[in-house]
Amino acid sequence: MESNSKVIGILGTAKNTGKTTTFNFLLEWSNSEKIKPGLTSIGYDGEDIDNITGLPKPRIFIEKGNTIATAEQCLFPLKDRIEIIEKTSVNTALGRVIIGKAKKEGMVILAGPNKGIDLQTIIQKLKQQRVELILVDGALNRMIPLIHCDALIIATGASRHTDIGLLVDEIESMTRVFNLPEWGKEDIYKDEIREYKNNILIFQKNGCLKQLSGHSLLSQKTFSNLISIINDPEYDGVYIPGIIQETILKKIADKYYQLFQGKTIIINNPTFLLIGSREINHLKDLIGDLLNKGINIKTLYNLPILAVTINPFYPKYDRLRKGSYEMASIDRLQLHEQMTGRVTFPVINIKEKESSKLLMEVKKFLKSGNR
Amino acid sequence: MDNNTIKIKRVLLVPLDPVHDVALKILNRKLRDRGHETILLPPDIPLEEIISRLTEIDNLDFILVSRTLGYGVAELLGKFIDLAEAAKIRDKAKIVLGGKAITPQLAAELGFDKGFGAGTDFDEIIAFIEGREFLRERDSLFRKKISIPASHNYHYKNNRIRRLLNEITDEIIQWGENKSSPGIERAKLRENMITISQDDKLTDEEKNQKIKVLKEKYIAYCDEKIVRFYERGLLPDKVRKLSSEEIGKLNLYIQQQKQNINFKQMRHMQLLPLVFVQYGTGCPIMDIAHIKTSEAWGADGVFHFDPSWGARTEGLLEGILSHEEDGSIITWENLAKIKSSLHKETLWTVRAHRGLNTPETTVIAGRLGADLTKIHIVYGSLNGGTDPARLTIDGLKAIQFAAKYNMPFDEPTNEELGGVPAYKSFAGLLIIADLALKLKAQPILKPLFCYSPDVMISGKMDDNYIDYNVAKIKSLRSIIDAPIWPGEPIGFMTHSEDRVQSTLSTALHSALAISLQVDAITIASSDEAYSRGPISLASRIDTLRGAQEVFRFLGKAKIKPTGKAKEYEKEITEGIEKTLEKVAKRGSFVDALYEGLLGSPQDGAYPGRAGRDTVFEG
Repeated sequence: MESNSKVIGILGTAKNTGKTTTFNFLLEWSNSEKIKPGLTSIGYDGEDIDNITGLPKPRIFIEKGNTIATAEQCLFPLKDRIEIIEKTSVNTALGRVIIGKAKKEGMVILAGPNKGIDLQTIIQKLKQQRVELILVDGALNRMIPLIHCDALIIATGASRHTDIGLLVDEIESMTRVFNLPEWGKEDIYKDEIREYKNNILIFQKNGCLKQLSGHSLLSQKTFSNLISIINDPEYDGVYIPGIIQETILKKIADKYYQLFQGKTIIINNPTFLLIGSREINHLKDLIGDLLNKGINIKTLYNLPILAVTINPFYPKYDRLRKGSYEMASIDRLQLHEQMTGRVTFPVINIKEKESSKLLMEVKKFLKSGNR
Repeated sequence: MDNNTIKIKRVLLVPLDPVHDVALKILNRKLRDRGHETILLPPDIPLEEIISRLTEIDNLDFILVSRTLGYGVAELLGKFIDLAEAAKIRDKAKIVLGGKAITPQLAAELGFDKGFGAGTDFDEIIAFIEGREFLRERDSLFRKKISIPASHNYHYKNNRIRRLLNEITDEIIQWGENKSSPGIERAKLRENMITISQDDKLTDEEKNQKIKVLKEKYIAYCDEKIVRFYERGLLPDKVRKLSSEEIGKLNLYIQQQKQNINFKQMRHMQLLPLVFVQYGTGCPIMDIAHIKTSEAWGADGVFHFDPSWGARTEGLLEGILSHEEDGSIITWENLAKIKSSLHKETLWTVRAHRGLNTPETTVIAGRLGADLTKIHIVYGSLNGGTDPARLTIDGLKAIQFAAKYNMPFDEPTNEELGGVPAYKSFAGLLIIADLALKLKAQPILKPLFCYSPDVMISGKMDDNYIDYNVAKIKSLRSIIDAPIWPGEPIGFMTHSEDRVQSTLSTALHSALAISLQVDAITIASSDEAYSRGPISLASRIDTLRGAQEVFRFLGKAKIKPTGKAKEYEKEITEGIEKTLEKVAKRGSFVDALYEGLLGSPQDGAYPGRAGRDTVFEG
């Protein structure tokens, strides 16, 4: 029996943007509200000292009865405190992922599945334990596996950029991408195109589908092939199951927009568009440009963003003592003000009073129906 | 490794680093040598281009990415792994990260399937790619107990010497018939006491009663110093029991060390020589720290050194005891505690060789499962301070115990340190080896391998340290196919207060030893001769690292001696033969010892007095 618990992932824009702080905040809340949590991470979280900067990091403290999914090598020192429920077949650099339940409260290290398909497996395993809320801590700037969550919280901060303008541009661009309309039920081929993972698809007005070799728009060669096929009045739209590189999107906007006018470009999910960009902060203008030119962009899968959390602190590289870092901060009020002005999602500094706003968003989400 | 059974893998190597791609180039060569199909990308290609290329290559099994860490690199690697997943590359290939600062934890954080950091062996990565367990491989090659005598057949190559030895050792065995000593009686009693204490059919009370009876008999064969302990609980000067708190902490330390230990690989291309270090700080706690450190830094074996007074005192103490001075006291409990700390593949030697407790020490070592022991009648009689007749009978019995408990034993010719010429020492060495073979034991020849007083006087090392050491090994090899383990320790008399000099000297002697492919060596710490107290761990590591480095340097290359080595070898072999002729002619091995035929006071050998007139018929 699986519970229909919901999965919240925490996506960061960089290291040290406050993912685990947000994770801990939600964990503490769910324990205080007696909402049974299931916990994992797509990276390596809960260690006291950062693997790269050597600076202190937030530990992860779990209560008795909490369910976790973590790699066997992280579990070894905790074997007296954690009851092993299942040794899954999901592998990581630290051994297989184990599903365990805390016999006692205490600190844990979470290192769970490292790719989407494995995260899906682990989420199912946690659901089998009848947990009520699954929290998935992100890693660095990694986002692809998190598409398998039901909702995301984006964590950003000075560790990504110390330039507030750039930070805000980036989040605004992400907002734009995550707000792309879904390829809805009323649209044709909805179920059919889910089956196609390895080929770009071209829809025609007569209902025919054409396949193109390659799943991603990464090279000029694939793009040239695409252009030659869609140079046909019968075509209606194109589905890209893989990555679209920003440079190619820019070519469409600048040079080939007439071919795409009134047509639809369907992407698989927002992260596949984000990952194709070198500088995400430009993406908002690019998408705006495409829309203005009458090109529709829709996404096959999407998930809600509950909030953006901001962290004004960052590890500053110490030039005098090579290889070491120290804590520094940008102007937290400026950051908050500028972000709120341009981002449609709630903007929250977990360390401030407004953190209760995040809980409101989470409660609202948990009450909403299933996707 | 059997190349025929390897499944060919397709491997793409990606130097994500702008400059550092040497490791991947080496790996590329090694993978190709093993028949794998590889593609090595040039360095410094943009991420998107790499991903684009990857989508065009079919049937990849592994992608190996190398990158040094720096500012923002974690995010770069995070993006790479995200791109790879979105481009569906992760569905088909495992993605592995390597680089100096990479740890398994970091690889997990970055989402890679595996991470290899500084100190990784290329074979470890290849094993991973081939789906083999590397640890097993490493264990089997580098941390596997090897039976030192196994590759030798003990066949004589010099028949004249064989005939002389046969005559001498027949006489020794005959002489020893119906003789005993307090040492032998204690050994038998100790063996019985151990058997009783391990008998599960007896209750504790029954055990205590039986042991009490035996203990009374045992005490009758002990010196006053030991009797005081058993009767009044008084320990000798500078000896104390470890407290239960100390023992508790020690147990915890052992447990932690066992969990966390990682082994360095001592040898590079060769399986021999095994490298031994000695411990014997006086305190079991320090000894165990030395053992665990030595294991971690690559030592194959360790051996137990007891205090010199232990050899001159009739009887052994009991309990976990600490000694303020050099040498760790031999008790069942001390040795059992030390044994419990050893890694399962570490060879353990307990030396019994030279004193009044030789048979009993052999019994305790055997019952505790020691791998090896050390017995040498000639050295113990001439430079170890024990009466020749006493040590001959005790040695005979100890060799029988060694055979019974399947412990090969080494015979150190440390008389050479007193100044006895090598050929005379070797004659004594071969007598005991032949005696052992007759008693179905497995002797290991342990000639001195250093700048000994003998050569200082004779000038045979005036030019170099190589020729004469080579001559000694070759001479022994020309006589019998027996294991040779130079010691003790190698290069010893060349050490000074300068740690660098001492380390280098030990390393160079190790180089000569590997070049000669001897079976094992014992190395000293770089402060062993001048520590004026317990040796330090740093100095211990010095020489282990030094030996490791020359093994890497030399590989299978050889050190070439000058023509002098041949001359010396001939001289030594002739000297051995002449010495054996004299001993055989004398008709009594024990008398030959007293009379200096195997080393005289002029040479620097003095028949010992401990245990004089204690041999009795029975």
